[in-house]
Amino acid sequence: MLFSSKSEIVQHQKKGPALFRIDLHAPEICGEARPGQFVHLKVEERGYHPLLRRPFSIYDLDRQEGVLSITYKVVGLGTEILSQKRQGETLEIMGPLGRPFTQWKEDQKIIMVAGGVGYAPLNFLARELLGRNIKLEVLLGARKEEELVGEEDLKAMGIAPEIAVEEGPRGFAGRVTELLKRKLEEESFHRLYSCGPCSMLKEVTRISREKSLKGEVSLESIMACGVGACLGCAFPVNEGSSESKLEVSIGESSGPKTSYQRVCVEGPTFSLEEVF
Amino acid sequence: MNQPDLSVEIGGISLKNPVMSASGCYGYGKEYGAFYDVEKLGALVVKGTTLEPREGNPPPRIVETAAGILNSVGLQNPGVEYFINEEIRTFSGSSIPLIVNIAGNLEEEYIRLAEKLDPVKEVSGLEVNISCPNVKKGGMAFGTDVECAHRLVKGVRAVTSKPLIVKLSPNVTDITGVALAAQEAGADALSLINTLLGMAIDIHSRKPVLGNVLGGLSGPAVKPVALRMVWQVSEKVRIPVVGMGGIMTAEDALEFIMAGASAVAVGTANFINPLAIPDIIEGIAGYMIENNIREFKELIGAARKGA
Repeated sequence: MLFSSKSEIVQHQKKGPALFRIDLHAPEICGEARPGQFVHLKVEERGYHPLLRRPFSIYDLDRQEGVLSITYKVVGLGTEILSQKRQGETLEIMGPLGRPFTQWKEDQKIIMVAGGVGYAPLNFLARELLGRNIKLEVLLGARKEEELVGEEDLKAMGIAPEIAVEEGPRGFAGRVTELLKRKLEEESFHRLYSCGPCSMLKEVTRISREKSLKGEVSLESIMACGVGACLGCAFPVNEGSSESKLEVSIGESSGPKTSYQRVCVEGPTFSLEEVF
Repeated sequence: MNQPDLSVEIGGISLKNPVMSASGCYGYGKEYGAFYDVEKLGALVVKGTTLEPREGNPPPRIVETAAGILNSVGLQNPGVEYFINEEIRTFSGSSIPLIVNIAGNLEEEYIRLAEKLDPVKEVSGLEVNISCPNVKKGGMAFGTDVECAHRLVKGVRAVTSKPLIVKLSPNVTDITGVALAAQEAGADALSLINTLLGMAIDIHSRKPVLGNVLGGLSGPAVKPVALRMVWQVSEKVRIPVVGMGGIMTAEDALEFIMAGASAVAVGTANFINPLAIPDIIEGIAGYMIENNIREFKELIGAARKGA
């Protein structure tokens, strides 16, 4: 079921120089949303600039209160307008949209890798996984310390994330993918979930593949409709990406055959084999 | 006052109201069926269908511009065979007209498409897309050359008895020339406008933003141009005109109708407001009640009286 309605801003907090968390009263969406799904927000009420809605991963939700949270970074006009909205104002919201992360019953030990605000869809997933008593390790990376997302919230859930900041001075001085590589040398996991810049996800996939670690990523895309009608958010997805077929295609110089799929419907979550 | 009569006929297709979906912006209707009953539409115009499946253009396919969007989807679709064998059954219980937009690179492809769709009883009419800006070697080329347009429409006309709505390109010097050629070749109605060819450049990467470099502009930014073309075309032709281009609200739709359009199509607005079409239908009915207009037909070309 999809909902399109107005939602009231319950709280809007600045979390960093360009980072914000917004809590919206959206009980219908909260009732149905799963980790990995997103909502489509209209930030401009009256005019036509910007024209399109903006997709945001669901960061967290409180089903009892009917409050849905988004954590976002200001990157352009849409997010800049959003950042100026105040508590008590309303926003048009559509959702829940997209394919949630797949969760496997047999998984006991999971690793998450996030790049900056890419932590957004992973927070909601972490909460659910912890509710299932799964052992969870989280690697958070960013270029600058102020761009790190999720540390406080993870600590509140009883998880101490490992930090990688490229420009230092906190945690591991380097990329989060390097941290992942070292981690996988020492330990093994049943599954990996990741979200962040495309270049990071490619590297995460390469490293995971070396260790035969399976998992899912969440992709970001510019979208128009958000519901699968316009085909604007197409992404090349490897065809027939069941593992056996994949092994065959990787060996070929031409690479696996791809077809365009919609990030908003077939995604935003994809298996590692499907997208990189 | 009772509910006003919103019905209208477009080239032999009876619509209970004058608002249709615009091809390529509404998939096969299923997506918006999650928000409301698609049977509310005057007619359902489904996405551009080609003879062979098409994978579409490389991403990015969308870029937002001032009050508009540029797209270069490139007619991604599963092909006409798949449409007839798989998609069509979802329309068997539908009571609203189904209009299939057909597109191709070659004249022969349009003719084969029309031949294949002619016996399909669920299809009420064909929208002949002679104006797609996102397909190389054709598409728009047919719509920018008067003789080509005439030959193409005549060819399609010869193989189907289904009503033909010819969709015109705005990327021409004089749209009325192509409009008259299509009418002369046997079109039952015209629809306009398709998107305006445009582009955007990313100054940081110093490259065009769209994967396909050029794209089609739609949204409120194109409305005045679309309205002007509907005005010019409806003055010259005797067949009905379906107006489209940046219609976001009932007020926008009424402008097109008063300029001479007998019906309208709504595209980009769906992306911003998933309830755009039912809102527009309701808004037109509201306007009629407020202004004591019993029959929708009274509004068609209302701004032309004395013009």
